[in-house]
Amino acid sequence: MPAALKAMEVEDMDDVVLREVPCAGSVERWEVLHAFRQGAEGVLLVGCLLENCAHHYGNEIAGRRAETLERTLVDLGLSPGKVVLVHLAEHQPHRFRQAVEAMRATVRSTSEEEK
Amino acid sequence: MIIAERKPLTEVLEMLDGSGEITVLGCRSCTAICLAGGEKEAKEMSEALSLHSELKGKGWSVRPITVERACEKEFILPLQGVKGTVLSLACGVGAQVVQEMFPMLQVLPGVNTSNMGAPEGIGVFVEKCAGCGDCILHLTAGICPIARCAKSLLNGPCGGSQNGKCEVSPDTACAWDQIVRSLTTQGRLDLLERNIPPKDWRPSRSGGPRRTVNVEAMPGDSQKAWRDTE
Ligand code: SF4
Ligand code: SF4
Repeated sequence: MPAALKAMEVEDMDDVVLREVPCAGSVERWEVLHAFRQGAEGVLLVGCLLENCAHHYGNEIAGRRAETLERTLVDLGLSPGKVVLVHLAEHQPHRFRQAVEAMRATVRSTSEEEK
Repeated sequence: MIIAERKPLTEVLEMLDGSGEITVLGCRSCTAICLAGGEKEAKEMSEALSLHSELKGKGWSVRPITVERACEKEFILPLQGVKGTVLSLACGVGAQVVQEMFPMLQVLPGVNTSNMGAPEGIGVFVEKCAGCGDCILHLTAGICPIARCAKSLLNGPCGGSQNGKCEVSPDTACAWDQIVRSLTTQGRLDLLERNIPPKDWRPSRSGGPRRTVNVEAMPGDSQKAWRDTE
């Protein structure tokens, strides 16, 4: 969360909605699908650096969920790349920014195909 | 417990084509434990179907309902008033009980139900019992050769047993190897000398659906009627 907030301080990110969770591994698949129904064009799951997980394997769970969700979303009719897990630490707002930019690019390049 | 796994989403979407009102039924018993159809999975399926409908203009109205146990009529009363299609994430038993209780609904299977088993590790479920109706676990150190031996041998092991594995796959333990080890641990290896005779398969799947009756539990009149027929 601090990395995202810092990134958002220096750059306008009106298109990003932050949702705070206790651990990336606590995000359920239905919640991600619900975010798409609420209008999200892509979902970034932002977890701590691998092996830094306070809950030991929350990060791994999030990784496996992201893979399942990727397949689900494609089956449902969306293009690939709409759910991405990124790992970063508090002092790495640049990584958050990069992930947002990459997601924006994915959304731009695929929004036409989905119509 | 009953083991099931989710059907591929594409198959489910195809099944639902032409539906209007869809209720995704979750069950908090067996299919919740094997992660195929509990409350979370029902919510997820409901969100997924709604999203698909919104993306593709299907016009579905979807909601999840999760019950304690879909295979008992008393527990599926929350489905009263439901219309249209029910996508059941409960096992095949639950799906049929719901269909029987609510004949006007179209109950569709959202999972493939396969066996009676137990969790072996996190996310791994293994078949343990084939419901043969004539249990011989007392002769096999509590390990079922009907369900767990690829050939359902009663007097194994066969020649394909290698280093504790079954010849059908290096990932499959040889049930008879396990039986011999277990009998050794228990000091009952002499049981291996005992020939297990050909099994009585009549209580198995031969005569259509099996009916199990506990006369004691039957209410007065029906108990009397049942006793009179015996
Ligand atoms: S012997 Fe029959 S009843 Fe006993 S565990 Fe095996 S399949 Fe089930
Ligand atoms: S190797 Fe073991 S489990 Fe496999 S068929 Fe032979 S006795 Fe049965």
